[in-house]
Amino acid sequence: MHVRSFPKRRFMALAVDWLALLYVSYGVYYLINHWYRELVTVRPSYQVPFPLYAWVAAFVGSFLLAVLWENVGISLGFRAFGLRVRSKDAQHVSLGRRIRRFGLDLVSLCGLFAVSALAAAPIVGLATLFLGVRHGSGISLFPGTMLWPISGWLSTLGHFAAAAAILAAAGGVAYIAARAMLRNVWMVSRDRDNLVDRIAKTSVFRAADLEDLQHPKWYRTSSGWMTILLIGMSLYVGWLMTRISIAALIQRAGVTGYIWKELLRPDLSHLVAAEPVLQTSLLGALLETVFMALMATVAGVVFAFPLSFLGARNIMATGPIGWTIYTIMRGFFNIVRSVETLIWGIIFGVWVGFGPFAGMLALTVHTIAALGKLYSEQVESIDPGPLEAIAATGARRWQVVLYGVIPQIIPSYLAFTLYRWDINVRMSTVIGLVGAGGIGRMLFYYKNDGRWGEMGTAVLLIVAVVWLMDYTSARVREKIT
Amino acid sequence: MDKPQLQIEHLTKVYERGEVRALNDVSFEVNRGEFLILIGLSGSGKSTFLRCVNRLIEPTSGKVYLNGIDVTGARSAELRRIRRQIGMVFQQFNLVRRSSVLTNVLAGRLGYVPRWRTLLGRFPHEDIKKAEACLDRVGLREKMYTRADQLSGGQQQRVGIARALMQDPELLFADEPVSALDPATSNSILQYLEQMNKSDGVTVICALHFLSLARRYGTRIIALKDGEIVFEGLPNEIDEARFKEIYGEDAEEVEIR
Amino acid sequence: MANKEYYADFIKPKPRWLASWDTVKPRSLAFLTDAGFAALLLLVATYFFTRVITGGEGSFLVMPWWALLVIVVEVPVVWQSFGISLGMRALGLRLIVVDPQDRPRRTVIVPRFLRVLAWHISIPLLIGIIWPLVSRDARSLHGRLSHTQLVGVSPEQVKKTAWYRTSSGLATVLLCVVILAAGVSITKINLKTLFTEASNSTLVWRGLFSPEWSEFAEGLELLMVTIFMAFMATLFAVIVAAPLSFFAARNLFRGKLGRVVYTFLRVATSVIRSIEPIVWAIIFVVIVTPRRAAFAGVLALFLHSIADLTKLYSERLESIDPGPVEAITATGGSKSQVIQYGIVPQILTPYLSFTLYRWDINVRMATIIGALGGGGIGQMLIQYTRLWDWERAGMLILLIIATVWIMDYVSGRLRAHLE
Repeated sequence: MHVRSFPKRRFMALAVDWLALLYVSYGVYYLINHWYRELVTVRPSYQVPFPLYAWVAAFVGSFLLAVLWENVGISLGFRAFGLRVRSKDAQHVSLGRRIRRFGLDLVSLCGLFAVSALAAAPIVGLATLFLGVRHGSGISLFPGTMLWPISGWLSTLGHFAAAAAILAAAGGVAYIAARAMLRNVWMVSRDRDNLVDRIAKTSVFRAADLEDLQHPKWYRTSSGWMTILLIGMSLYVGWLMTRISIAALIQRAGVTGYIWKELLRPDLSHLVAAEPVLQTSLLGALLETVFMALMATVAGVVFAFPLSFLGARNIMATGPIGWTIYTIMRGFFNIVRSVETLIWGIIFGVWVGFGPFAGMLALTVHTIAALGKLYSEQVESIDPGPLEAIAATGARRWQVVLYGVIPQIIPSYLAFTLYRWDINVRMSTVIGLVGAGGIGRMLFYYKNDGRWGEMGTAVLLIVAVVWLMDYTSARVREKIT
Repeated sequence: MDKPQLQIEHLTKVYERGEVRALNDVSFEVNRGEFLILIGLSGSGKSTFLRCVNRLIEPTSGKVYLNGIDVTGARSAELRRIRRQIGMVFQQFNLVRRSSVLTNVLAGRLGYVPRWRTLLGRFPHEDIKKAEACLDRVGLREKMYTRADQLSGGQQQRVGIARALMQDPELLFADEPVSALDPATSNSILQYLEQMNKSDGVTVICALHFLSLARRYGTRIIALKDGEIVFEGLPNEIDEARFKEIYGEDAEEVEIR
Repeated sequence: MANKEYYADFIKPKPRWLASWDTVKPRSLAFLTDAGFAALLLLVATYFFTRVITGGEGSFLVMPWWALLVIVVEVPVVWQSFGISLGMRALGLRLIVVDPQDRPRRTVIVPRFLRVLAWHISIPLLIGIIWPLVSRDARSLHGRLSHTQLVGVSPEQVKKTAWYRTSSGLATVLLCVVILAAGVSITKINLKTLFTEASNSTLVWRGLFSPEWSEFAEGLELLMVTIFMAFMATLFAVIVAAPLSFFAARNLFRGKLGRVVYTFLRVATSVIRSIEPIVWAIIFVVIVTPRRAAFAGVLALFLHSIADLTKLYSERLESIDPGPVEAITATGGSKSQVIQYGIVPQILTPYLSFTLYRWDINVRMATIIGALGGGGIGQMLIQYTRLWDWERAGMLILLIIATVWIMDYVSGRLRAHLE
């Protein structure tokens, strides 16, 4: 007898279905806008003023459609996560029963929303309280309606405490109710079917467990058609949105052909001799670029090396303090890494003034995060045996790290560092574009001046250096690992 | 005979996840100079027991006394002093594979050498001489500068023994030191342990799989099953019935030479 | 096919110069390493000092080219004759004295001098260069004349010496110090400004931490453009790169034509890959006019992705298991059948995985490609930073961070699922 329901998979499947339908409605929204602009002559940035309820309808409607789809057919999410709705004894379910199941789903969802709204009440309440106190406007649930006038901090405190107590009590009750609801009614429980399935006498099976699974051709399934719709729509919307125009490319190619010609006929006049405006030669700028990358890598390693141990689970996660530090380090690495170097370049440009130092700092910060993450993953994958052996000799914790961890990680650390230097050289060629020095600055200057020949030289130099770095670092990495 | 060297009292270890009782109320004493052998199936708690004694794993309850000093209550500095008196040899050798043999052996001195020296990796001259002597004892002197991962399994285990020797241990734990080795090498490894036991007077507690090896080297045998002691006595006391009791009905004794 | 080549090695003996090359190669490489070391040290040092002394004006070459060349050549010769040079250490070479009479010698300083002398005679006359390649034992002429020889040593024979007691160790440290010093000067590192000028950036940080939420909707719209830029570029790049990769795989297309196509593709892709997409965008935006900035971004990402994906794909193709290919060839399958049944099933998952990875990178790049031409969120971001409107810029940066994060996570999960 089937007892497991797959809450996580079902949740993900629903999310996929909802997102797919939301995406379709976004596409429709975009296309309506686009066609309107095509048909009626308006300014290019004109947007059709959709009323609020249209947005709400799209949002809620796509959700309900997703639920319907999952009940009546085999939805995209169900297919992707390998789930099927069957009767308790794994038989196919008639359409009527499926529709009835949809109805039950709707009812249970309404209940769920009601209860979770109640459960969210304390949070919303506390937020309104906080805002009300902060702005001195009293507590109001809706703009313009004052439930509870508050004046002065002293009386506020009393009111605040009372309200907080009431809300906390209500919230507690609601929380318990919501939990019970989630456990029993909807899909959260792991080892038994939810209420809907129990009433409808159905069950959600894993496709891999079913013996009579059919594999129809894609064009006979709703999810197949949906996939086609999603891809087709993406292509069409993407084509319009990014303003792709082959015609423009061909037309302009004739006009701008001279650019390619000049790019490929490099002008070497400022290769060694200084360019009068920027007061640096191309080779000098290139040297600046390479050194920017080098210094950033060195500085990055200096910081990333110790930090990587703090971000390694197997070293840190021995107590609550260790866990906290580990989590903070990993969060730091991830956030800093996801801010592009170019953006760091702008920030540091404002900070220390635009120039190679700002570029180096930007690269350094990004390097610390990227290397920190790579390094600490390396620390996590080491062999724990030697650490145990060294701890057993009566060594201190840092001695264990020094004699057990570091010898194991040195080669991969070196490989990652070289790889990062390689990346940094690439990055430093473009970071000059936002005002940090180096060859990027010259490149941009020449482009703005329309001096394509000299820009060609700059590009050629970049290619040479990046290629050389790429090649050497790959060879050396091959050697040491 | 004076006081026992190692006293184990009601040692229990419960793993939180899965609620497995790896050790259940284990008590016994070990006298100086013994070659005690722990036998039992895999998962019977032999490894957990050894690690609970030097607290590589924290025991859930129970007491351990080494020379009358409470190991289970020791704070970090004291614990490290205790650990350096206990040499340990592992099933998977646990050498730092990328370091040289010498560095691996010198790691045995980490509990003795002043801190700044270990930070710079500059061990005292006498320690290096000692490492050479230890390697000489296990017949690996000429491999001193070889990287550990270039050695065969038996050689690696000998390096592990040399590392334990560096600690000047009075007690040696061997956690299935020969499970990863072939029979011939197994014997030579156990002979090294026996030699330490006989000539240096190091007490040895050795976890083993094979009864034949246990009979040959042990002065006393303790058998564990599901974390409890099911037998304690001399090697020749284990007969067919006892054997079935320890290893289960289907077991068949295998001879290892 | 592979087997035939394999046997050919056995049947045809290596020509002598090729056999000699095997022993000459490490010696030449050691020479090049030391010469490179000397050149680097000289260049960086002179550049650094002239910069410091003259304040960065004029040419940094304080000595004539020929003098530089002489020093660069002399350093390895002398160093290798009298000590253990960096190159010798790197390639595991040592200088030994070969005594023809096998007499014990107290001093070995004379042959070392002789070696230097013999080098200066034999090499400029060019005979010294050809000699080792044609002589039977591949010894150099100057080595033969001075009874010395550079021989390879195995790592176990090497005596361990602390780095600070070897010339090569000290030389490496010197080089590092000089390079770092030059780096500090060239990149104008000034830690003081980092701390004293920190107040400059408070405006930026405040903007980032209290973003202008009214910008959210517009930011989202721009974000969609950005994501679609990445999507279109990746999709089209896959369509081009997937077939191209077959021609760029060494193990699939042999013969002269195959070799030419392979070499051309490899060079072209590595050149295109070396130029960051943002630079490509600068060029393309001039071509398709700024009105179609997003199109320029797509083109730039498209071009870069083709090159990158072709490289990744073809490397994967080169490491496929030849077993199935052989099996299907053995059943009498045609070339296209071999590809369809022997190769494609092996590469489908890795291709998908690489594509996802590339899409992830493209979204990342698309977020900033607008900064200098390509459209999307980057274009707006750079405008706000120029207007010093950090609240709005902050909102956009937060959106970029969120997108990059989500993409990173989703593509990582999907790829883990694929493997």
